[in-house]
Amino acid sequence: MTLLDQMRAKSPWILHYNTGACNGCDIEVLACLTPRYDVERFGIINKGNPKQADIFVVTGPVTKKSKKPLMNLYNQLPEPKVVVAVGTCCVEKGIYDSCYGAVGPLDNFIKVDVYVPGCAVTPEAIIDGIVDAINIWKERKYRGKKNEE
Amino acid sequence: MTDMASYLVPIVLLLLFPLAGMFIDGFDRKITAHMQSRIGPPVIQPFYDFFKLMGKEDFAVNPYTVIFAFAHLSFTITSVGIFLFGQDLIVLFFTITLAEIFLIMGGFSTRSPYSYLGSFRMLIQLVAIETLFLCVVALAGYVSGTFIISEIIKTHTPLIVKLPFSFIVLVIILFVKMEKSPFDIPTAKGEIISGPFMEYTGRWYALFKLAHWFTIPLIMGIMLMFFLPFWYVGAIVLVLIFLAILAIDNIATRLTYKELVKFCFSVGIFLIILDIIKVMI
Repeated sequence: MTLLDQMRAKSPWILHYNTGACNGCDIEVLACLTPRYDVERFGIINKGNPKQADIFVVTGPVTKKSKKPLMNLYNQLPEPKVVVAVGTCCVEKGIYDSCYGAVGPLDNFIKVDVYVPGCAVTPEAIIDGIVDAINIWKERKYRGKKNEE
Repeated sequence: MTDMASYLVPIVLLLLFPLAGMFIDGFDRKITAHMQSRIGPPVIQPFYDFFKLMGKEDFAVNPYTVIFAFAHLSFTITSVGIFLFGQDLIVLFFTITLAEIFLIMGGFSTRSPYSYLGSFRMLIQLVAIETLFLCVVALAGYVSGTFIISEIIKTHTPLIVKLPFSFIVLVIILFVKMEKSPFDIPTAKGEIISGPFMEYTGRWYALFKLAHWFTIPLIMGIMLMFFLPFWYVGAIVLVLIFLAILAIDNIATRLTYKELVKFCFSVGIFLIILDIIKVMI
């Protein structure tokens, strides 16, 4: 592992997208940024822009309507990137199981690296999941061309 | 020997400029975090961010965005060079403005609505701010009898005694260039995400970060120039202004672009007129 990879691990920028969850997990994701948990001390920023983000944090079962924006955002994230599924409904549809509108879970569409179950997830669990995601992300290399799925 | 020194010192300072900008950025984030009772990132966090961005995949929506990013960076470095080598203040003003215009053109060359909106706001901000900056430059040139920076600083009474209100105008300009609330209009976070930088990825975004690290110490350097030959007073005042800007950033809400223009063309021009009256008497 080179020095550059070590530096990279200290600056993960997050893109947070809600695919139709009840908002519980989203509040917990944002709670990580508050003074009590303060993830910015690890260099984590909640970046609203997919083109400058590294870690894709997704909440909610993927609904029919949100599937297209989800794929758009995923494709706009530059390599190397990691995907974290936050919340039970994102991991295995949870309470939305057998709902006609929900077409998830998330790993039907994109490759998920870290699963963080819970309803709603605690901020500690989210931070734990993101630390795991950083360790996976550190090993990933961008080799000059986009990885083909 | 003195000839060598006159070239070496500005070149060494030019290399130290982005480092200074990086630390200003780092202290900015650290102090802001402490003001919000957080711990905050390490002071060299911008350094990590920069090298992370350098190693990311870089796709450009079109080649022009990249050309404008490079043009923005090179003109910013040129203006820093003009300042450090003690050249013309008017040319310095033009190169700073040109760098900003390349940034705006980079934003306009994509089709993203966020990028468009940010660029429009930046254009309006440019009109508001550069007018004031030109007035300050003209006044500084008038009271010193020359626009050459190396001649202006060879004075016994510092510029701030002659032009106290112009210095306040420079504080407003620093505020806007640092993109701090209430003046963070073009790159408003959470509103139009990152404005003109929306479509830049990886190392092309890092170029803008680098240019920003040149711009902020440049404006601070111009402010320090107002205190020469008493640079230590200027340094203390600059630190106090920096802390005040961060405090205001944490308590103020964002203005709209119309309010920015109103503010600059009322308060700013009023301060300039006060200085003109002071110079005339």
